[in-house]
Amino acid sequence: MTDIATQQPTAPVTRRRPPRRWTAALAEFVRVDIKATVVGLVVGAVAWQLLALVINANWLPTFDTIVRRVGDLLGDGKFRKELLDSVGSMMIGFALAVAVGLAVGMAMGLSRLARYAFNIYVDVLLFIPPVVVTPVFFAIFGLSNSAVLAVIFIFAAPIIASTTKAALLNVDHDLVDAAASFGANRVQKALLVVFRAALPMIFTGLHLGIGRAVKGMIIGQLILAVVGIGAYEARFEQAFDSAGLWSIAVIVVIVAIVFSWLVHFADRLVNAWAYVGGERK
Amino acid sequence: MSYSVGQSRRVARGGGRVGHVVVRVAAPSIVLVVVCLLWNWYVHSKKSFYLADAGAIFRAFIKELGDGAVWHALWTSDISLLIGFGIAVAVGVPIGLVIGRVQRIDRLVAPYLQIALVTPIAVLMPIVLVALGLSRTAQVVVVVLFALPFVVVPTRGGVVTISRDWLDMSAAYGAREFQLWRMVLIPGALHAIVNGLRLGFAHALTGEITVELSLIAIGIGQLIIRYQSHYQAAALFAFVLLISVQSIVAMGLLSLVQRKVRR
Amino acid sequence: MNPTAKPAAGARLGARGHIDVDGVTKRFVAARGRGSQDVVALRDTSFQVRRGEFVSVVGPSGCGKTTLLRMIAGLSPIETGRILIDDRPITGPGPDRAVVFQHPSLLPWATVVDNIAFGLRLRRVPKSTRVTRAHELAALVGLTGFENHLPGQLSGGMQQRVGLARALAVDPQILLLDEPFGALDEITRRQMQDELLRIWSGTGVTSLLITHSVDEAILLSDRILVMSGRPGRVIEEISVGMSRPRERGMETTQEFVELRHRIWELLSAPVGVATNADE
Repeated sequence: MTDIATQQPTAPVTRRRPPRRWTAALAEFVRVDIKATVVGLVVGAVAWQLLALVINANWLPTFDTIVRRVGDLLGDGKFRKELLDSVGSMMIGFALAVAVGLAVGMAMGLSRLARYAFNIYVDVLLFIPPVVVTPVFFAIFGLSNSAVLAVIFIFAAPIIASTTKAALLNVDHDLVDAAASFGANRVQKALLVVFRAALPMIFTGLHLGIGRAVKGMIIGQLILAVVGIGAYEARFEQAFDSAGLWSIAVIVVIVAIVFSWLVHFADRLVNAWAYVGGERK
Repeated sequence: MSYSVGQSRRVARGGGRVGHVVVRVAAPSIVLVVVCLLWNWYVHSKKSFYLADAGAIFRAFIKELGDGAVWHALWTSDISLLIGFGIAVAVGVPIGLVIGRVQRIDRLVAPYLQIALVTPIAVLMPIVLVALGLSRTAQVVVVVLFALPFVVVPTRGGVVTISRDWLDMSAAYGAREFQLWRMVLIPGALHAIVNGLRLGFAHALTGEITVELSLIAIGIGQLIIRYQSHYQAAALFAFVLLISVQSIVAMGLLSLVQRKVRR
Repeated sequence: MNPTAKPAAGARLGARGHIDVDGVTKRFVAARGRGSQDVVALRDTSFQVRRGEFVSVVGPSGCGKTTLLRMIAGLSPIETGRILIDDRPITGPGPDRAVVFQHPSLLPWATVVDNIAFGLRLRRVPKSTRVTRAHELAALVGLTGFENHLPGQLSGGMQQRVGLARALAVDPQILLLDEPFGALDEITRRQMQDELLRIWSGTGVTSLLITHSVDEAILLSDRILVMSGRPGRVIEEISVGMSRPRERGMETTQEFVELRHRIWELLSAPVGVATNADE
């Protein structure tokens, strides 16, 4: 659902070698994924500048003001440190979510007992907005970075677990049968066939997960308002410094997109076979 | 022949169906009990004013069900949620349909939709606040911003993925544009639109709670702050539980609608 | 499991078979609800396949052909009756049997060579040996030049060649073919039949082919088992007396035409009451 590019109506089926080496994968990735985005962004920047000049409101500074402000912020060592700390805690939270989400999801995908035991809880966690548990985390961890880590975790882990489970259950049973007919045992079937075949969809889960991890990081810090980017936001907001707020928004969006791309790139690298003949199947 | 594969697997797994049901109920129950026990052990070892054990939370939950102030706080927030979600649907569905139908627009906005999906909308909240102040309007705008991309993108997807064959068939029978919309495009995209409503509502909920907890506390946020400042841990946890239950009910209903539509 | 695996069992049927199917019945338990009944897919089916023989099974959809093959392959459990291979009952998939599936079921992330070598890899054959062997088989099935392609880059017919090569790579005693050409277009299908004829005459491996196509059965087989609709059972065994090597053109001989006619008569005869079951 998330990836717009996968929803193109008819991908032309071409017979070409899959991008196997990482340089080829990178070139392909730049061609398909980055080009469209860059073009779109340039058009958007021009539109923004014109709109800001016409409206002339405090809350909408001109684009060039924001660009200069982004430069100022990134040049400021203290801000850089807060930004890197925030990104760091996002990565730690995401790593925790991946570890737990994969473990639970794989258990649920491979064992019926685990499915019965955890399914309802994973579903419930997907149904409630994860932000609702932030007061609970603040009660447990206090107003600390650990609370933000927990928020990031709870944003990302359930979708990873759920997608991993679905990925394993969705594996074409014919493949498993074929392996069985050649005498594959349970472990061989799980590792050589099921997990491998499930990887593209597992990466879909990781892709969704990284997006949610960034959201969790921002929301956790905004509510906490004393660490990282969230502290800056609180300060700018009190000063009605909309250029500062927009600059942070721009930086955060860039961080979100870069991480989204990183996961997408890893996907193209690991699952090159699934991209044979254009977009992923 | 694939049906026989499925059936033979069912037989191969076999086993007593009664035992099956018992495991189905027992396994999650055991998980719940273990989690509660661990929680209680943790709470009692910590002895913190901010924590409450499972029993206390459950009692507070029952009490809150009959507490007018609780329902008032919930409803106060729900108003913004419903208005914001309504606007997001009223605006988002038509936008999604048009983007899906007109390829030139689609190509132009596609990168923005992709960005909107990964962007943490929360980062825009303070700007909304600067523009509109600590008002209900600001809350509603935040909810709309959270929900909109998740209404637009699935709707667009629903139109884009409509089979070329249907369009060709309609053209072959001389369907006009509005007939195409009424008979092919909207019915064909319906399941995707409903999916968009479900996703949009989930994000509207997130937006509403986020704005309440961080910037504009007029409903649930206010009550949570009161519980926090009075060290009413059990009441706080129970209230979080209540908001979760409300979300689950709402999301469950939307999922049911979605399942109906799919058929 | 079955202690009666004595030579006497085979002796009862005369010549000792490589595959002995003896009184096999298979019923599928219906899904819960919807008031559906259990389905008897196979009823009291018996036949045998001699070593080095090519036997085809033809029958309408839903007659349990594929179920039968899956039981022989060891992929589906045998509940009533028994199936012996070299006088030993089947307990599961074994290195003596290899299957070519209707959908080639190739690993989409593995190259042609890796797919062909898959069975060898499971048997822990050293890498250099299995790669050499896979290259030989790729050449045998006419895939020279495509060794490093992925399945997604191949046409349906080429994918099925890989499936055939993968089965032959493990050097099986028995080749089980489950409508291997069923999903191919007519032209590719004929090419593949020719290829199979050529390859099979070189190996002489005992083969059991499940097919919908009467012509394919006659062209390839020593013997044809005609099955009835559900519940499926063997209603006739027909020996194809035509000499080998077989080649195109034999379809127009009188012998071929008569055989085809006879099989079609059997297949279109009304059988029992259960034929109009869910199909």
